[in-house]
Amino acid sequence: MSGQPLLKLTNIHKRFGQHVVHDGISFELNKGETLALLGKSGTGKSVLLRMIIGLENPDEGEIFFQDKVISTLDECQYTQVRMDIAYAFQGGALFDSLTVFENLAYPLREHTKMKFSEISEKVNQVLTLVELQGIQNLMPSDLSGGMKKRVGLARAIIMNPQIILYDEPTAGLDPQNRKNVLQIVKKLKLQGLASIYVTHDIPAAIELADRIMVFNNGSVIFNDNSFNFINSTSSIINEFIENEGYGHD
Amino acid sequence: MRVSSAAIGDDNKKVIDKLFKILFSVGEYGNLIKEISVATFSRPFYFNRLIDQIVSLGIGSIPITIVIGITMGAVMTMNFGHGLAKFGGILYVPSVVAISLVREMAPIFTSLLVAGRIGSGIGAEIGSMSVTQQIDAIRALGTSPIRVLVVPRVLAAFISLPLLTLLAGVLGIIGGLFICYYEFSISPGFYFNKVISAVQIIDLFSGIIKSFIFAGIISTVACYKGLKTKHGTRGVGKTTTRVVVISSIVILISDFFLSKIFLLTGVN
Repeated sequence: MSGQPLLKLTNIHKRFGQHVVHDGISFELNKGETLALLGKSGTGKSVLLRMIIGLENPDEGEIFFQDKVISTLDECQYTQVRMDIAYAFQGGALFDSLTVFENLAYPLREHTKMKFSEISEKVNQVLTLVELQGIQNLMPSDLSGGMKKRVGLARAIIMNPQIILYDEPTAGLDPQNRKNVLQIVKKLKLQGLASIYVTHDIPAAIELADRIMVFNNGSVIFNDNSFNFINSTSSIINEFIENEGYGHD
Repeated sequence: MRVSSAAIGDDNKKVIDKLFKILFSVGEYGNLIKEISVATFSRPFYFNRLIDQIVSLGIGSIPITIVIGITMGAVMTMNFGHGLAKFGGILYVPSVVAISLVREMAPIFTSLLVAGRIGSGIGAEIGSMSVTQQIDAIRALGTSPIRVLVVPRVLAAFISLPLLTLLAGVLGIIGGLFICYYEFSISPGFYFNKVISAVQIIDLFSGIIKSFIFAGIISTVACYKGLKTKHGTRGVGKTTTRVVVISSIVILISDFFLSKIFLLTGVN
């Protein structure tokens, strides 16, 4: 990858009470790159995504998006950043009082002056991408867990962001739904969307990611490509891979 | 009984932690009020959501307000009537009932009722949105939960509660009329004459101001507790209970001080 990174985090520190979550984390994300974040539960993978989207503030360190510091922006100034960086929540986080159509139309109605017909067309377009045509009038309570995740994904990409942050998109899904979600992620990757992919699903990370980062005790202990991840000689990485149920065999 | 100094130290630490927690909550609540004030007078403003909330909070509360208004007036009239009859003061019943209703009973009863119905509803709705990351989703989609959820609810309460209070007051007076007529043989004409001569505009003003302040208390406490909800459905249940308890206590205490202020300033 060449040129300036799209997203850059420098020396990020975060603690909750006495618990140190991040102890000086730095990394970059380039255009079109998919970065998988791995680590045991509670190592701050999701917290890092929340900091990037501005839902949490780092205690120390800076986050740059397109060379501009975003970690010091206030809620109002963050609005534009949130058009360019989308967050796909673990459970979809759909608004349960709105239909699927209204959920997907929400960001368009808030941030564009599109007419109803244009909104409708865009909603159909993203629903086709996530292979869920014809469910516009259903309520979130009518959807399965996998469908909710896919609608959540559709809502995240409807504003054509430059980066998408996936928070465990395949967690809790059956094999077929997992496959469907991975296919959507691949499609978006092919469209050139950069992404950070938080997961415990090591096979999915290996399949999708250009680069894998592993968190442990508040620090990054591995930051390299999938090949080197699988063939790592580091005992910590090998132990982590074994513990996550993905052996070298 | 001997208590170790370590145990006393632990107890003190717990009390200090609790105090800091309360102070922190008060600060956060103050900050929410500031954010609501800023969001109310700046764009974007969600007018359709405000209408939805007025329908849901205000119009939805009319049936129960009718019931409480009529029964409150009837019960008060019956008690005052039988009490004052012993001293030959039955003719004062319409005036006493009307003034009590307009100044105190209608704002207090309606507000407590609304705290139960609307406050718990707002707390539960926003609370369940918090625990299912819908509040985070609103922010992540570049919008403000204060503007989208809080402001319409607070404004709807400010608009609805004074009107509901007025309705409860009027219906209370009508409830009193029935009791006066059937129980104490006071004619409707005499009853209304006494009510109109007793109730001044300033009394109405006092009641409306109170209900306006109570609306602010109920809606902001409900929104604050809703936004701070954690720990799943159990947390939502706790939020609902706390909203009703805190709102009711604050309403009753602030009513005392408001009445005192109105007396000192000559409003009552």
